[in-house]
Amino acid sequence: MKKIFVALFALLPALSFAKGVEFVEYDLDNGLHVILSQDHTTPNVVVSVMYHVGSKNEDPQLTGFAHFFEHLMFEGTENIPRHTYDKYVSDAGGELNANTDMDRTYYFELLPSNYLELGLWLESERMLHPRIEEIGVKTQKDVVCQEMGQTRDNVPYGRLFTEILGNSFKVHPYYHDVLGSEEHVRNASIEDFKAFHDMFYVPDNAVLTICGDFDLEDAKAMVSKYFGDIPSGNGEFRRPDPNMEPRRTAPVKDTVYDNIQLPMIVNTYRAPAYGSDDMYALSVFSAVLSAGNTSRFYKNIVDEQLALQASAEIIPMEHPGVFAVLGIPNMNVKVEDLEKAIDEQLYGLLENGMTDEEFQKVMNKLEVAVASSNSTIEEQAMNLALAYTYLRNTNAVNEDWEKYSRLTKEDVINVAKKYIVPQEKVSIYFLPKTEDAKAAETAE
Amino acid sequence: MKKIFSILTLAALLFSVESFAQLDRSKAPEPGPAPKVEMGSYEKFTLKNGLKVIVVENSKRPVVTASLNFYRDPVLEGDKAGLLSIYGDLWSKGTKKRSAEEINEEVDFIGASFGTSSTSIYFYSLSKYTDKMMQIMTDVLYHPAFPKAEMDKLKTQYLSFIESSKTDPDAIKGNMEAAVIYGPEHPYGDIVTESTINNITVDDCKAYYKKYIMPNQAILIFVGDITLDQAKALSEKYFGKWKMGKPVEVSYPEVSKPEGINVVFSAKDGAVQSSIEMAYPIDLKPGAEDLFAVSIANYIYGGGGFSAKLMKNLREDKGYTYGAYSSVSPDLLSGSFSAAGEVNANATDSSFIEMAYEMRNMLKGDYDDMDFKRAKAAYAGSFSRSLEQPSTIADYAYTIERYGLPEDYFTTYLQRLDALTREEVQAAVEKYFDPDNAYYFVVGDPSVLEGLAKLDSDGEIVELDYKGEPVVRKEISGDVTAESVIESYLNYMGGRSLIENIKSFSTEEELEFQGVKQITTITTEPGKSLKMTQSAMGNTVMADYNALTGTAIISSPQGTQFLTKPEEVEPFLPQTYPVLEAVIGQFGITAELEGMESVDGTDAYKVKFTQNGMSSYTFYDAATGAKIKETVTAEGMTQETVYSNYQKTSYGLMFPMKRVVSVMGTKLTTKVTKVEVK
Repeated sequence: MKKIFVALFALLPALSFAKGVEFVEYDLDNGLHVILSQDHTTPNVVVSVMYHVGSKNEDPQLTGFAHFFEHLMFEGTENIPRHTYDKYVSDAGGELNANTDMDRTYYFELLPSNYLELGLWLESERMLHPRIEEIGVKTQKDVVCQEMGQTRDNVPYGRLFTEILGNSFKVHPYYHDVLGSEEHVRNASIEDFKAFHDMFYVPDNAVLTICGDFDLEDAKAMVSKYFGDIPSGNGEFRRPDPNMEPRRTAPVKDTVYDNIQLPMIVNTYRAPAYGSDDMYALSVFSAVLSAGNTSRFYKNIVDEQLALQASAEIIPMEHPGVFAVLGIPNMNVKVEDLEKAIDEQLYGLLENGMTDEEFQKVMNKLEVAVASSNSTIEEQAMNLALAYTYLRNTNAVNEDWEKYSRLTKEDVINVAKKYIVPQEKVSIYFLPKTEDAKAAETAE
Repeated sequence: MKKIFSILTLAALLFSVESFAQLDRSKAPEPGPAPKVEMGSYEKFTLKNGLKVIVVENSKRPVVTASLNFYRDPVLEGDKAGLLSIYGDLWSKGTKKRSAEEINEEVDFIGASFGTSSTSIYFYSLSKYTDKMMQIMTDVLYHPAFPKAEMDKLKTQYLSFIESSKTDPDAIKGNMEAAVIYGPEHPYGDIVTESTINNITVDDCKAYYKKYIMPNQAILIFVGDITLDQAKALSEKYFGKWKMGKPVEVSYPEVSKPEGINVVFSAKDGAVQSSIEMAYPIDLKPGAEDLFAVSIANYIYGGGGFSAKLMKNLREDKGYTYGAYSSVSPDLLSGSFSAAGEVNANATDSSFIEMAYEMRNMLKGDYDDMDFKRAKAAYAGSFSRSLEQPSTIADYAYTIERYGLPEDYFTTYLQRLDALTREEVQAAVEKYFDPDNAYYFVVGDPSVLEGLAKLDSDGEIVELDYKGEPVVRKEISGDVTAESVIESYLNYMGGRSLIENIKSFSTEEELEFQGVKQITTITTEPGKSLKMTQSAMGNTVMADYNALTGTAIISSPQGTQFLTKPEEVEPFLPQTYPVLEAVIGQFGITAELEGMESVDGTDAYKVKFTQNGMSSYTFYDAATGAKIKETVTAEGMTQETVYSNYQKTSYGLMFPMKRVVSVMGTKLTTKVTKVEVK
């Protein structure tokens, strides 16, 4: 046991009196990081494992693997036959699921508290020896390719994220999306999958988090029992350099013709990494632009009937990522005119700053958001795991308000100026696919 | 103290390291004794004017939610469908004292959320702002202004939304269900369209307000950082003087079940996946005695996610879909059963077959005791987890109040669930599961129709458009042929001989798309040459085709191309004819009469033209002979062209001066600005 942290939420300024998330954490000898957080509101627990692997860690010739594993990890283990992994959880009245993004993959079970040990057995089995064999791989290839069709290729704006990433990154592997290439997934061999597993699905690349109604000492003993004997990896992880993507020197424009009815404008800029001080400042900046219906975008763009929707947001990514501004023009509004209106708001704020009232309003909103966060053990577990995985600072879950309340409105603008730079603007137009639009394209 | 504590833990750790060797991983660990689930409490009281108030105290977080909920019989909107939604949005858009903007500013400044629907007003804020938010809530309640300007804004947004949902399978399916299951006399049969939105007025909203907003038809709920005493004081202060009203009662026609299997189809040309749903109405009310039993049955069948039969069959075994789910929804007027999913187009019919197959297995009682136990455990687990949120307690209290359920309905939930027997579940399966009498709704590519026809009891598939309106195919008399339709079109255009005598033909036309204006001029000599100039945004593309030399030149800002290969040049030749129908025989184009359909209310003959295996469909006005619509499908997408505004040129030739091309809901209008015929 290396460290015990107890959150000292009382030290935080201003926020009325919500309690923070309390937890203890330590490492096992095999490198598995363990976070335990008690909450006795109802007799339930969350058991989760976050692996520090996402699409950015994939071999560029074999994309879609992290997401594929999310599916494969439900196929059973040496001790758990196919089609039964989820049954153990549902038999107990629990739920399980998993999700994958560019940076991490997260598996979790929600269980009645008397089934904590079951959750640990399941996750440890999956870490120790999942089934990576022909039949399961084939089934999941079909399911995953179906999902690509359903969520990306066959849905209006389904390619949005794919195009944002592809246009915003040229060097950093963030350039390909999480679902990856259907061809790569289809053609991948069992050996390819095994190699990916051996590199990333090891205790020294994972965080085990338990939240909810349990006894601390019992839980620690159970964690050792099920995870203590899982061998570490060989210590070599494919991790891209966070800053490998060079800053742009000239703006980029792209037009995507898609199966959509209304066009969409997406402008992206570089964004600071998740959890960095700059991210907090830029979050305030984007809230002034688009949080709520008295924000600048809403009042000057949506209310003025220029757009159905307009928003500015930071896509949360572990490495420096994407600040995206999106707009869907109202009928009869030209995309160029909407983009101009968005730019006026964006650069107007950057140049002239915000009023005291605007700043206070956004801080009030953030106070509500922080007061409302971590309201379930499911959310707590996820945020604890994320904070450790990205920042190696689990207590970051309790530090949001402190980070925000330190900011002044001048800080916000100064930070935003580092990122919102005209020569780094990527402008993507999503236009409806029509024959005549294609003709217009040829004419350009 | 801390130090001793961690040394002891370390010892415990070392001890468990010792025990690794004995760990038997092959068996799942046994659960400990079941924990006791306790439900948080709530308080309730009623004001003199009949307003019921429910309070759930929880001071863990410094926030409060308050909602004022109105209950009433469902409202039939008919030709004003969308009124309730517009009313709901408009309600909070201004009072006699505050403009919409002022409400926004006040609410937004303190970081609160505030909103209205046709049956509620609610807010969520830090508890230090509760009184402030009550003032705004009641200003909206007592003094709404329903400003016309705000309504117009909302209408524009709704119209944009309708436009964008025209190709959304879920929206289309919703309209299909409304039309087929419920029909126009039933409130669940309301379908929102451009015309129903345009019918709605401010007076309609005022009338709705008068008729339905009253304390004796409302339940006020406080949840969060508030005490019972504070809630009582706030209720008296803000709602004590609110006058009672007279509740409105309405009854609606019974919803009947389908007989046999009725396939209902809506075309989404080129869709690689079909959106499918098996559905039928059931008589199941909230709090019904067998609600638990049928819910458990549904869980085993398709409600239980990964462990349900539908998912195992359609996703895990067959790979037809990413997910298929079923649901059973109780409702006072008409409950419903449904099983749905997005499936591979080529597995559309097979998916229905598997859905029915799994349903028959349920009827045979072909499920394990373990399935039954698992379903019960799932309900117990999700009930227990739901209690984590104080708002759940409020939801339960509201449900008891709204549907007149026993006070202990939720506190005895787990006991009743535990007592449920397999026999009771089987009885519910027999009562509610009916694989032989159901609607099969499909939104997909028309290529799936053939397989579906075999599933339909009478082999006749109902085809609807995106609005849920029938796609009509009328009988036509025997002496009408493709040739006669084409001949009458040529007559309408001015007659075959006039067309064949055209020496040269030129047009100039304009297209505007997203602010880009494109001007096209075309000059042709039938059978001889074609010259086209297309310019947009300062750039020009030109094409120059000569049939005698068999060459074409295309020049654009990217460069100039000389085409000489027959396969590249030949497609130009048919385009030199201003009325292609006059010469179709020359190009190996075959024409086939497909039938008669209604095109926006006009009866039209549908003719299928095929050339080199590619087909297009053209619709000719049955009365005048004019060409009114053309559809072509390529690369999985359908392009539709509507011709209108026919005018006679000085030469005597009729010509459509307006073309509207639409693809995936986007419309492009081309206006012909000049026609010259010699």
